[in-house]
Amino acid sequence: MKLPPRVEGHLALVDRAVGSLLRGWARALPEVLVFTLVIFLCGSLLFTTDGLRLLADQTLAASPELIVQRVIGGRAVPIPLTHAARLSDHPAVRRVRPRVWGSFYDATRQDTYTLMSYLPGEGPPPGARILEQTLRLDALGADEVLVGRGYAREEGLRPGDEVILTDSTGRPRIFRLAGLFTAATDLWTHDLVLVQEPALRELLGLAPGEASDLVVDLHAPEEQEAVASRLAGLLPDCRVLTRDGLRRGYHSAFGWKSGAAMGILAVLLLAFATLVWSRAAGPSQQESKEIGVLRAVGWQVREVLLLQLWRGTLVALLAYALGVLGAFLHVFRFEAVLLRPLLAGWTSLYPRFDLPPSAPGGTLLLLLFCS
Amino acid sequence: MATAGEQLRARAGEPTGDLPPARPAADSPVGPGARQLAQAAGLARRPRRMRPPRPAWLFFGLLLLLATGAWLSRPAPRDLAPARATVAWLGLTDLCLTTESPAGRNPALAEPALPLQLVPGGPEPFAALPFFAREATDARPPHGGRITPAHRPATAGGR
Repeated sequence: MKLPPRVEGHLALVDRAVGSLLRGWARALPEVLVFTLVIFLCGSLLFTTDGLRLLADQTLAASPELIVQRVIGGRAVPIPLTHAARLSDHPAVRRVRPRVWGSFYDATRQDTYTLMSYLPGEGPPPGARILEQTLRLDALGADEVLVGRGYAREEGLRPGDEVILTDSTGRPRIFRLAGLFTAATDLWTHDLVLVQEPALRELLGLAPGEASDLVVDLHAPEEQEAVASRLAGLLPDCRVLTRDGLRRGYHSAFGWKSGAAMGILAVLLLAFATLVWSRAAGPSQQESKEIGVLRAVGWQVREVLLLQLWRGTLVALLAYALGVLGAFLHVFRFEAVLLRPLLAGWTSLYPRFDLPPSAPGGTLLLLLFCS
Repeated sequence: MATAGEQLRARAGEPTGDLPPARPAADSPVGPGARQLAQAAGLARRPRRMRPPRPAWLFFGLLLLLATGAWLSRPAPRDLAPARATVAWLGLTDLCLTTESPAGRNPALAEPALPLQLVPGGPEPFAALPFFAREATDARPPHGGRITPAHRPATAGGR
């Protein structure tokens, strides 16, 4: 294939730069390794943060538009169900559901579980494969519970086993494990114990006319900010959270953690910048010798500079490709084991979940630009 | 056009590279004239020795290989339908990524990432406890703020 002379000239320079790198591999290898490490760490950080944000967005899309919590003295307290009736009268509100939920701290295992209730008449949409067993939720007994896989694994439970929970008076209550949530719901149900509402009220000591909070579905979800303001005016002792606010909260939290981790990485970046500066500030003795030989055999200054430019470009490109490949493998194949505890959050019952394949075009370009 | 090396070989009586030494016509298995015909058709050229690939192509091939590996390591799209159904059914709002540890557990129990969280300006571990997800209302004045007419309750017919 005949190439234009200009391209052929650059290819010849690349040939020579590759040969130069191979000859001086002992000097080039540390550069490539450090550069690869920097790209790997920055890429892993950005890919993980992007994936977590995307994951939160994708799943929060099914959340209720508004959450109404009663607050006394800055603390969330149970909300009376009369508030639900007042909210239901608002024309923008499609449905109000009281949530009954709480946390249960197992001092023996030092784990915190989430207890939540469901109404026997209300189940997931038919065909949704959320349980590992095929169960009719409306046929479950009052003493039967559904649990997440993390809780079951931690307690060593299988369907049919007994589940012992302590109520608000300190008395143990015995339930029977009816089913487990599937792995596909782990991110939401890993530490969840789902109990029917009357039993959970007894466990939490919640009065029949109260709920932990209210979730509100709207006729027009895009109006949630405006409706939230109206509802907050309607119930002055309550605060109203919007789904968009939650999404922004998650974005801020992940961004904050990513920024904190990047701050830690800044030390490494500074060290690398020092290395790059020392390399760019002046050629080494061997490079001076090589440049002298090239000039002696007739190379022009421009060609020598081009050769040096190509040499640096090849190092950057190789490190970029290796670093991005390593970051992809780390994040998408090995579940970002190095960064996940730092970025995702902390809990003793940590769920296993795959980060979604985000579209990292912007991130890749950013890394390439940094390279 | 012959190269300089071929011209020197021809001058020294060596084969020039395009053709093996001419054999007597009687030796030719397809008879006289076939070699000329094959040469005209370009079939009788002795295959050239393959040049080694240029280092530049090898390098760019390596980059292509790494890019392909990165592309193949992307996971397949996940089926989010079960998670969405669960979230919609129970009205869930919090991911199972944090516990209530700073608020509900003994604060003396150290958590691995606690130093990164409980700092001024740090995010609330539960997104439903609004730090960033602030209330969507401006109907009440902030502490120490001025009470504007928007904050006053409307009174029937009064000022």
